[in-house]
Amino acid sequence: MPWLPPPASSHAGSVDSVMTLVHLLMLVLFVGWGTYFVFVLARFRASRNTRANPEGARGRVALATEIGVVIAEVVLLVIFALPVWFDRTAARSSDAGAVVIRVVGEQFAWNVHYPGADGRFGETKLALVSPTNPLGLDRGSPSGKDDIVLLSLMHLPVNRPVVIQLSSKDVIHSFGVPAMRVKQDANPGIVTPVWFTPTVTGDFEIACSQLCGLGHYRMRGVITVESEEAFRRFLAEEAAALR
Amino acid sequence: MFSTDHKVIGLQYTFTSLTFLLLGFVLILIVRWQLAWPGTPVPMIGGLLGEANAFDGRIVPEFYNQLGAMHGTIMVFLAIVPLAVGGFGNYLIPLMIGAPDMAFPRLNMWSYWLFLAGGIVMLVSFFLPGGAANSGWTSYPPLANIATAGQTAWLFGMLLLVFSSLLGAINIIVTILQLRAPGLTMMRLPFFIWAQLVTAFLLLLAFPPLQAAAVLQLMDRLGGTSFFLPSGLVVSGQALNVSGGGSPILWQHLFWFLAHPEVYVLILPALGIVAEVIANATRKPLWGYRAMVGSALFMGFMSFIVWAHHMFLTGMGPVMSAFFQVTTMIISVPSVVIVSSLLLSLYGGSIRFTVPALFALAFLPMFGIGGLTGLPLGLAATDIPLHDTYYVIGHFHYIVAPGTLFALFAGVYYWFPKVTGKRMSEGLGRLHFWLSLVAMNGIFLPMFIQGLAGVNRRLYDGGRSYSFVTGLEGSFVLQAWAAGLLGVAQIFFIVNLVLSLVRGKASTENPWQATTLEWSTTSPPPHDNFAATPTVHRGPYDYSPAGSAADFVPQGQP
Amino acid sequence: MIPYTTTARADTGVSNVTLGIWLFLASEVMLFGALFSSYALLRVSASAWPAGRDVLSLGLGAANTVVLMLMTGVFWRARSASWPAAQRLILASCALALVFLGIKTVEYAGEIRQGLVPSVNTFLATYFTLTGLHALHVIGGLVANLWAATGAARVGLEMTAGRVCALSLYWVFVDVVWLIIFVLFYLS
Ligand code: HEA
Ligand code: HEA
Ligand code: CUA
Ligand SMILES: [Cu+2]
Repeated sequence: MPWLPPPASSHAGSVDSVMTLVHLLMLVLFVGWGTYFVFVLARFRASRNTRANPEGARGRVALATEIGVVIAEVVLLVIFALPVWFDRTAARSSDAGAVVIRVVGEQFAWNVHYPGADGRFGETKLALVSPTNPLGLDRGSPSGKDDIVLLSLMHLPVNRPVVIQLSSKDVIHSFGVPAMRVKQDANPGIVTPVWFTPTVTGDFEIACSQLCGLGHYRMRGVITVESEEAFRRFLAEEAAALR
Repeated sequence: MFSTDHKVIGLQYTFTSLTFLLLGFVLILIVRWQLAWPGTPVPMIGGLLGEANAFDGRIVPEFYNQLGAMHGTIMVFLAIVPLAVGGFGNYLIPLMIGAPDMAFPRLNMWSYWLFLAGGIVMLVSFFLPGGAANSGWTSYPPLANIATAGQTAWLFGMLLLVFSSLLGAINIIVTILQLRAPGLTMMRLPFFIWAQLVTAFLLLLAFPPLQAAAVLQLMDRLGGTSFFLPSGLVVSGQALNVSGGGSPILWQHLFWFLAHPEVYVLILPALGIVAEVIANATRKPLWGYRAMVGSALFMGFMSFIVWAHHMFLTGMGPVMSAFFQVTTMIISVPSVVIVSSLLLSLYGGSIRFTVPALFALAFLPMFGIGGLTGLPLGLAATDIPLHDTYYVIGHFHYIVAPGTLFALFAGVYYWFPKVTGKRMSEGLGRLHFWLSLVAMNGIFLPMFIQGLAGVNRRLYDGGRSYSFVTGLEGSFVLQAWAAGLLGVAQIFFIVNLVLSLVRGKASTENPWQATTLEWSTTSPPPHDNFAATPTVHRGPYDYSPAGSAADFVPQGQP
Repeated sequence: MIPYTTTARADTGVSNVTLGIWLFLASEVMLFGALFSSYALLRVSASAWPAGRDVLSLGLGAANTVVLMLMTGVFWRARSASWPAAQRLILASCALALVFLGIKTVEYAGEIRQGLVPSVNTFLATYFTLTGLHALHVIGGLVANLWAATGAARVGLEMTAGRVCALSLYWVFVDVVWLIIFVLFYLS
């Protein structure tokens, strides 16, 4: 499918192929009916056909195309689209090797929260929220000491699954990453897991995809997908900066 | 002024909603300017918008969001629906079924004045501190809960509009079922009447949940409740002091339960008008009238169980989303049947390319594009990249603008002689048509490419800070020029309306040689419509009957 | 002028007024249906939900239930009564509706004095919204009753009988909504 940004995640290909198939179906229908449309307009214009025939079209062509459309839609939905979607929404907590990150949207930035070396997220408390601690992370607690918090920046290792625990502090945002074919609303009060595997290194944009106020248009984030070593180095540097 | 005659009320609706249509268009002209040349002063009207909205004539983000939200609200609730249902419905239903008036004339008058009151509340909201509503026409909480006072006005305005359309819907249903002339059985009703009947049922049953939602949001905003606010919200660094425990998703369910049927309210009357004009312009009966009626009924019923396809990416469970994907695919079938029937109706016709016919014919491929692009949105997998991008905007604008709006234009040109006894200029009409057709496509076609590339909707600067816009800047400029052209095209329409009103050529009683009942009385019709109650002897489209010299036989002719 | 306003049409079997009120009630069912569904959703997902008996005044609620039923009963008698008597019955039902609203006001005042206002928790939020909306329906019905009781001179007895008939259905609906509210809030 032209115009889509180049795919950069493991499932992007399957989304794109459904996209191509639907558009093919649409194209066939539009060109088919369009050709017929132009033909009848020319053939049955009043100057050429002075008296209409009230019988009109006969035969089963119409019914056949309608049934054809239904079959095509069923095939598209059941064979192609639903499996992709189920794959997207399946619970995958069991995946051991995955990078787990919390992402919390707020007007108008993305808080990206890594659990740090211990692999456990520190506790967050409403009372601790401040301009320097947007998540209200309890740095005093043992699990919170080593947590890494970034603003609108995210580092990910290539070819390793990521699970993002997505939520929001204030209004509804939407975590959209066009290149990864990922989009998920970030609802306040609800944590929604988002799962994908980046397959291409480089910088990719996070675009907030839900109207969230006057700064919606600039609620942009960047995901840097890098090699496993570079990712380790990044974590180590951040951990050093904390000390 | 306070008339209870359905024709007067229909015209009041028509003029008020045309005015709102113009306003909705002006708002979007500003948007198109801002998207093409972000942050540059809006020409001509930039200085009039007020310092808070346009600093030095440059739009500020807060104002951009008002423009979008109010454009959507005005177009849907104050322009298209009142024009299609309040204007065309009110004026034509009694005439087409041979009735003296609507069943409840005073209720009808109330509907109009409530509608006007709702419209005025919406207009006045622009002058409140913080301006008009700015949380999208969808008004999703928590954003809408914490928004400026304009949102409260929006909610009150919506409540008035809902009351208005509930009264209107009851009136239309009762009128159609009860006041049909002798001999006019249900299966002899023109398709337009069927479309209005289904539309009225949708309005009647889908609007109350929005009413409920509006009441709850008003309670949240004025009574300090937390229907849509979960616990633990932190807004601008401050913990929100509310009891919490609410659900923002609840609003979305209530809203879309209304708003999906609402989109069929936008399309059904348009299909009705197109059907009338096409039967008349081809000089033959509609192909598959029964299937069309059945499809309209089925579509109306199904439209109540597809709403969550607007919410695939809220995080709903896979079973629920599978259900809504299936129903969404199912609901596309009746649309396909109706459009196919209209297309097949052309076959064997003797097509007259009058101005109404041009608009009605162009409706078909335009609706085709809009409808077909609904399919990738209806599959959750492909909705992932497309949701909230310009692809969605393109999808529904093809249906409502070169679709519904064209159908309404067709209706205006077609019934103008009925309403005024005068003819409109064909030449100006053709100019209006061709320029509008080109301009509409110039605005909306690029949206699919932008959407696929990832450009989100509702972006103040058109997404200039993102790389997905790279290479597409030119398309925004094209869209701005096309929007300007669209405006120019409407000048021909307005001039045509005014000139034809003051010195148009007198029309004959039945200028289109049509079969339906409204043409069997004088133009304009007298106060009680018909000198004597007509009796109906045949179906609605007895065109070119075999063995008759005339190529049409009116419904009232024995 | 307009046919079938109060007389039934042969093929549909109803009059305009009757059909109109049924359609109106259908939309009302959707309105309260949406509100009760919202109530159910919020209640199911709530972490705590007070027992209504302990918060609200069961006595006043029960009294109001009786008053409202009585009111509807009196109004239904007006349906079958002939004119001046019917008018007196309607006015009596109006008085009962006023009693209902009076008791409701006393109840609200007491709750607000105790600091039980809508913003406290979701229970009170739904309680005030639903009973408030219900009270608005009682007020609306009251106005309509007065309009029906005084309209006979203007529109004639036949038209008035049609209106009374329609209103009696409306009052049954208002009762049903109240009973659901009573069970959900006062008894649970
Ligand atoms: C009148 C209005 C209208 C109509 C009729 C439709 C019709 C359809 N809509 Fe659309 N829709 C909207 C108005 C409308 N929609 C609006 C306003 C929104 C956005 C709201 C917002 O977020 O602000 C929206 C959004 C929207 C979404 C949500 C997208 C998202 O936010 O991510 C979805 C998803 O399923 C969808 C699907 C469909 C489908 C499957 C149809 C189907 O019913 C379409 C069926 C029709 C066909 C399949 C066409 C068949 C025709 C041919 C085959 C003939 C071709 C002809 C020629 C060439 C001559 N629509
Ligand atoms: C029925 C609904 C409807 C209609 C008809 C239109 C019509 C148009 N819409 Fe709109 N639109 C919406 C419903 C509609 N829209 C909605 C719901 C949204 C989403 C809002 C949101 O984000 O919340 C939206 C959003 C929207 C956007 C996206 C904004 C954004 O995301 O930031 C854009 C951008 O170009 C746009 C453009 C247009 C254009 C160019 C038209 C044109 O087609 C307009 C054509 C109109 C005219 C040319 C006027 C003709 C005037 C006359 C004939 C007057 C005669 C008068 C007298 C005689 C008194 N619309
Ligand atoms: Cu956050 Cu839009
Ligand atoms: Cu929809």
